[in-house]
Amino acid sequence: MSVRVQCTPAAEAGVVVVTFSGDLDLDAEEQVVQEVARVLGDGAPAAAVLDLGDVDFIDSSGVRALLRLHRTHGDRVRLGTTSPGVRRVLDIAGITELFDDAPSTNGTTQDRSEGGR
Amino acid sequence: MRRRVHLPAVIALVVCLLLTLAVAGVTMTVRDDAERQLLRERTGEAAAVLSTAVNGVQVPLAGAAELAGTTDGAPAPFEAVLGRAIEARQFTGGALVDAADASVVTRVGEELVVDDGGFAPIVEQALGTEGLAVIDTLDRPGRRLGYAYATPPSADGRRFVVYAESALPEQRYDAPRPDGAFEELDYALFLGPGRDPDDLLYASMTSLPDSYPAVATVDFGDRQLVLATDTDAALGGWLLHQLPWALVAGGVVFAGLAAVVTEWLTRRRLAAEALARDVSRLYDEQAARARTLQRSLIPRSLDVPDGMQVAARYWPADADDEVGGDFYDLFVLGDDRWGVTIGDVCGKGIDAAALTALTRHTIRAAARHLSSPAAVLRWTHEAIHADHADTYATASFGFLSRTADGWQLELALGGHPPPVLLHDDGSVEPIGHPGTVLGIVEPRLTATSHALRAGDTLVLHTDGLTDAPGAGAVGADELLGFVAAASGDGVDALADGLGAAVRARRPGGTGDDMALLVLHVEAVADDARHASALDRIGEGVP
Repeated sequence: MSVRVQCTPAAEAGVVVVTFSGDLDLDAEEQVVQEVARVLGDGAPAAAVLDLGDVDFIDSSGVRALLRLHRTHGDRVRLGTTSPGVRRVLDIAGITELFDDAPSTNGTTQDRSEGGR
Repeated sequence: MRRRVHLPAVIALVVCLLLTLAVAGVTMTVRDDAERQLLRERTGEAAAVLSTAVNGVQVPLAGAAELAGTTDGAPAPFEAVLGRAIEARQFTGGALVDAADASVVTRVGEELVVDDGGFAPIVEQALGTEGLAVIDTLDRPGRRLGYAYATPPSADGRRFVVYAESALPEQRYDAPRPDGAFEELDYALFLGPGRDPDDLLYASMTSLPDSYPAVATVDFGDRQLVLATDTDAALGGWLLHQLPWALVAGGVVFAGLAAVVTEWLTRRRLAAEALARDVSRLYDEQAARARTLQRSLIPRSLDVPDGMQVAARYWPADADDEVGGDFYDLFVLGDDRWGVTIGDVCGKGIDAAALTALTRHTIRAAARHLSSPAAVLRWTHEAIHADHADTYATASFGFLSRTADGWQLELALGGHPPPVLLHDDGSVEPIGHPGTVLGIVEPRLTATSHALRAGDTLVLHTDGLTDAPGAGAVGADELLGFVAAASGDGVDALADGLGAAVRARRPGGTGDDMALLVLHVEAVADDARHASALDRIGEGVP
C-alpha cells in the first residue's frame, strides 16, 4: 500500500485525528474512504480530522477520496495539517475552500490561506 | 490444429515406448539367464539320477565277477547271481567267459547281441580296464548295451570275464521322459565322451539340435554318459516367463497415457497462450480505440480570432497505453466573442474519454446560452454529476470579448490550476479564483475579469505540467519562471519551450498527460485597431 493510517484522539473531546502518510493515489483511494468511514462509525465521534502533513503526493484519485468523504459525511470530516505540495493541489481543486465552508468548531490545526485573487 | 497431435505428446510416447523396450529387453536377458541357470541345475540333478543308475549296473556285475573269481569260474553261482539281476530286469542276459581263450563258460537269460562277433574283443577290452568296461553295441540290432567286468587272477592264474547286456528304450528318438529329475527336460543321452549322433543312447527329442544349453557328464566305467538338455518349459515359473511381456504391455499402456496427458497439457498451454494473445490484442485494440477517441476530443484545428496567435499542445503520458483525460477548446460564439477552455477528467481510458467528451461538449453548449463563466461550469457540473456521479472533471472556462485595445477575459476555475498571464513587459501572474472540481459536490465557483492587452500572452495548462510525485512536482513560482523564460519567440516556441522545461524535470517520463493552450494578443497597428473599433460602432456595439 502506498498510504499508512494512524488514529489518535484529538485534544478536543469526541474528535479523532486520522493521520495519513505516503501517497494518496489510486491505490489508496478506497483505503482512505473506508478507514475514515470506519472511524466515524466506531463509537460515533463528532468529527474526524484528516492529518495530511506527512502525505507526499496526492493525485486526482486522492482528491476524489476527499470529495467522496465530504459528500458522505459533510462537516464530520475536517482537514488537518497539510504538506505544501498537497496544500497547493487542494487549493486549486477547491477542496480547502469546500472543507472550510463547513460550520467549523475550530478544533483543527488547519492553516488558513487566501484562495487566489 | 484441433485434430493434430502435438510434438511433445509424440516425444512422450516415443520416449516411454523406448524405455519400455529397454526395460523389457533387460528383463528378458535376466529371465533367460535365470532360466539357463535353472536348466543347468536341473540337468545336474538328472545327472545325479543317472549316476545312481550306473551303480545299479556296476554293483551286481562287480559282485558276479568277484564270485566268479573266488569260485574259479564255477557256472552255478554265476548263473544264480546274474539270474537274480535278470529277474530284477537289470539285465536282459549275460555270460561268463574264460579270458584265456574267450570261450563261453555259461550263459544266462536272453540271447546276446554280441554272440556272433565272438568275445575276443570284449575280453581284451575288459582285461585292459580296471573296473567296468562298457561294450559299445549300439551299431548292432536289438537296442542293447553291453558291460564287461574282468575278475582278478585266481590262485592258478586263470581269469574270467563277466559279461551282461541291458535293454535300451525301444525308441532311440522320442524316448519316454521319466518323472522326477527329467520332467520338463528335453534330453539326449550319449555314450561319451563325445556327443556323436552314432553314440546316442536315446533322446526325448525327435531330432538332435546343433547345440544344447546345458550338458552334464557322468562317469560310466571306461566311458562316460553325456546328458545334453534343453527345455521349452518355464522352469522359473509362469510369472518370470511372462514378465517381459507384462512389462511391454504395461509400458505401452503407460506410454499411451503419458502421450494423452502430455497432449492435454500441451493443448491447455496453447489455449492459455492463445487466450493471452487475444487479451493482449484486445487490450491493444482498446488502447488504440481510446487513443483514437482521445485524438477526436482534441480539436484538430481551433477557431483562431483575428489578431491572436494560438498554439495548442497535447502530450500523452509516457510509458502508459491508457489515454488521459486532458482536453482544450477555443471556439467562436459570435462577433468578437469566443469561448476558451482547458480541462482534465479524473481517470484514464475509455471511461475518461467519454467523460471528456461530455465535459467538452457541455461547455460548448452551455457557453452559447449562458453569459457567466461560473454558470457555464455549474451547468457542466450538473451534467457530469447526473452522468458520472462518482467521478469528476476540472476545467477552466473563459469568455473572450474583443475590446478597443485588446480582449476582455471573464474567467472561472472549476478545480483547475489557474492560467498564467504573461504581460508584454515580461512579468507573469496566475489569474482566476480557485473553485471546486466539477461533478461530485456542489461547486463554489467565482468569476473574475482580466484585461488582455496587445502583447499579452495567456497560458492555460493542465495539472500534468505541475503535479507529479516527488522531485517531478513543479511549483507555482517555478512554472511562472518557465513561462517567463520561454517567452519572446512566438506562441509555438513558448509552448514547446514550456513543455521541454517541464519534461526536463522528469527524466523518468511523465506519469500524467499534459495539455497546453497559449493565446497571444498581437500588437495591432493603430489604424487596424481603429478600424476594428469603427466596425463595432457600425454594428451598434458600445
